[in-house]
Amino acid sequence: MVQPNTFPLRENRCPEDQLMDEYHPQNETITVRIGFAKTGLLRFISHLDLQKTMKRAFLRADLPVWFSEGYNPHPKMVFATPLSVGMESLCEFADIRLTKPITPRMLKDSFNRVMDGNLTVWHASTPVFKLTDAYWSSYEIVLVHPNASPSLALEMDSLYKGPLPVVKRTKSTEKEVDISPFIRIPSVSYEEVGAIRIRCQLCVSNTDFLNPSYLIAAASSRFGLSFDRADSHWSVLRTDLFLKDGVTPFL
Amino acid sequence: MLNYDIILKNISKPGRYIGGEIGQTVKDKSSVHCRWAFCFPDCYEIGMSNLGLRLLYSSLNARDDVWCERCFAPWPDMEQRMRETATPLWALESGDPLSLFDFVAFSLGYELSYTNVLYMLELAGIPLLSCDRGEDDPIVIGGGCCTYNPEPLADFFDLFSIGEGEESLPELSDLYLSMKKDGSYTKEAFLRKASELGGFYVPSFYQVHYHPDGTIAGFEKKYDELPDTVQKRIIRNFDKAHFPSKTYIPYIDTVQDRIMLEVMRGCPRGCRFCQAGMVYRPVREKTPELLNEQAKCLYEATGYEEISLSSLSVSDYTRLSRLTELLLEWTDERRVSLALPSLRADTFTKELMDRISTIRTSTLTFAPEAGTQRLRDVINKNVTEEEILRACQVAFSAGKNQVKLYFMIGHPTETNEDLSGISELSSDVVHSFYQCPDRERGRGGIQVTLSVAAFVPKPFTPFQWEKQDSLEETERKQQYLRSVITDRKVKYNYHDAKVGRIEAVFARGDRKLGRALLEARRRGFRFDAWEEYFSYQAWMDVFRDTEIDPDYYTTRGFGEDEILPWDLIDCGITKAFLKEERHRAYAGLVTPNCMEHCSGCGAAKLGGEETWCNRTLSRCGKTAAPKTN
Ligand code: SF4
Repeated sequence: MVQPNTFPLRENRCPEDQLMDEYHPQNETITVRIGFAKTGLLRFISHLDLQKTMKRAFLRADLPVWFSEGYNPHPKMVFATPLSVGMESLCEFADIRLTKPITPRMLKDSFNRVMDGNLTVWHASTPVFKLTDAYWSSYEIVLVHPNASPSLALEMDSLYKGPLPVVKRTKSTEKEVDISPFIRIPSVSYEEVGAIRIRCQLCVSNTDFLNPSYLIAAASSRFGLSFDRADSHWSVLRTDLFLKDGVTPFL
Repeated sequence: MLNYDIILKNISKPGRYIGGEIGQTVKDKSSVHCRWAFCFPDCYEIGMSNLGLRLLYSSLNARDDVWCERCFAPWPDMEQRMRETATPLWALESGDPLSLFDFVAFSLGYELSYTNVLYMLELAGIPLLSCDRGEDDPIVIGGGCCTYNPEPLADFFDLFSIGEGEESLPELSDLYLSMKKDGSYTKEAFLRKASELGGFYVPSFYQVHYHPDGTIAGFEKKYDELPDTVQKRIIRNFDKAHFPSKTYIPYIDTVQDRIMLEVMRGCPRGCRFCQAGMVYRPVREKTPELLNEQAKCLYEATGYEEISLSSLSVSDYTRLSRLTELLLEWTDERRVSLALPSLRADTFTKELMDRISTIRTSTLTFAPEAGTQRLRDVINKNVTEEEILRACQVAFSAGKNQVKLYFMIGHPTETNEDLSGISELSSDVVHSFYQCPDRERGRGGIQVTLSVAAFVPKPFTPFQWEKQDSLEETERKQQYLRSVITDRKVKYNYHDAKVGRIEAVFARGDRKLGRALLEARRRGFRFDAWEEYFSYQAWMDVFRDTEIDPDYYTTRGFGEDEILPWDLIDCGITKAFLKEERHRAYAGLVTPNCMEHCSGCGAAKLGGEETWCNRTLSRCGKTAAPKTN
């Protein structure tokens, strides 16, 4: 399991003690971008549950959260990328609106004090890029299976480096697409004791989002690896988030 | 160690099984000498909403050397995974299997959860029958409102906690710790000492003798010092009751995901069909200032957006307006809303509606319970049609256009006329909407939804001796009611009569039912409280094969001088009072509620401060000093 303090190593561009005070022009709120990790057992809670958990943590922390108007007032949170249930992430981003300026340090300290280390805010700043600029996400996928071997790792490496047609399902359609354009710099290595590690970047743009589960499914159908067995499982960890160039860290 | 990646793979709602919630209690195993696994025999979402579980979890964990954890019934997909992977049922906090615990406790709130008790014990690898469990197995204990008749479960439990457990369960832990320490502990010796604490019933210490016709001939005690009846425990001073200043906050959605502020315990009304209204007597209130402090404290610990004032009949809380005033001083600005789960038409006012945000939503719920004034008098539901219509008028003027009405069919003395009364009352509500000048116009007018349950005669109610309508009769009544409801604005929902029949068998059952439960487990029964897993036919088959006649417990009715299976339990209320109430019901006489007049039910002997008994009795120049039965 991931240690909660191994967050992506990012150069710190934002002074910790300087007020984040860029007012939203229309309604005098301040939009703040937070970077957080969702790890450990919290990988099993859904996006909706995460939103509720965050909201309650902000309230417990007595942070100046802005509430929407109307019958059911709620804080406004917009997330950069979706994350499937069961997957961990060191690098999630969300925008939240506040009613008064605070410093990144205040926000992080107050929030982390009321959470338990499985949901940890490690970054806060005025947004640098647009949320929709997030384009590539890096992952570490570990497959634990009795058939794992160095040669299988090599075969999987070439599988991910070539054209990779898979059946993609949407609500209404099913079609075969080549997902290789949405995979960047894949590398597969044998890890010892029946484990294979895949490192790659996958596209997280609105239109071409590629769920890491496609890579697992492709490998299991190509090499006949069933993950339904009791002695096999996979884990997915999102480690970082980049712009379209695949190099500039998203902030 | 559990491997969550394996055990939770492709499992629906994995958040049910991970524990780790903010506010849970984790202790260092090496400094703990008494471990409780508190089990709720239903799924996580239901169990996490249970106020009793929250209170007891916190009162047990208040001691450093005691650690109480939680466990819920795994959904069938998880059952299959656990069997495949040979994973025994575990407690959420530590992940340790239940069989390692000192106490495995079950909260027994509804009869249809009994099969889940055995299901959970089996998944934990704990022998189901208490006589098969040895010195090293956990002590299996039950509590909750079903333990007012624990007899169907007598074979499976080592002991039952009768009444309120916030004080008695920590006492039980103390006894356990001290006997372990001084070396005097054996299970038998412990259970004997436990029965002396008060409020603990050890079923194996009482043998039941039967007449040839199956009715009970008497009870035989194993030891002379055992009490003849086990009196329930209550918290005498409710203000001083243990209060959980922190509470677990679920990550996933649960049924009651909000602050539950228990303003009082018990209900002063005395509806004759209502078990809770009888067994939680005497009514005890908390002071508004204390409640306000407790609400603030819970808000700061949780960040919840809603506070629900909870109790059997919140609007009877004497200082409700003071309490809402205090709460509104800080809740509004923090966007925390106030909710009332139960409303009475006779105490419903415009003022209340303005303060309680959930009442601001479009639906309003009332429970007239019966369709005619005659039958409402029989059941002692002292609410009139005028009061209901007046309350609806208040609501309609404020823009509401949805009303939900709760009824029950099958009450003693019920006729077709009473059933038609349900339809007429609903039409009157519809009519009064169109009479209301300030009503909400547009949005399709009014919607009245009827929710009609079938009566189950419960122990410790004036109706405990009553016959339950046969299945055919209940279904006939349901169809009759359907035929008389002609108003298109009235929507009619009713409960499955078959469920009510099984519920009655176990609510009124004796020890013979143990063999049916055991057989039901052998056949894989579980989640009977869930429509998708309940099968009436399967139950009938079990009863046939274990020679149980369900009619004996339901349509037969019990004789007033018959020994009842639950006569071993003393909930404070006397049998004489219940009998008199039953006779008054047949005479159509209402009995005033405890706030107006004390009718001497017997509960005052249990003591208690800030109770209606004290107030009402002192008004009559009497005191509620403990008196003997
Ligand atoms: S003793 Fe009197 S006031 Fe107290 S609960 Fe019974 S009837 Fe009500």
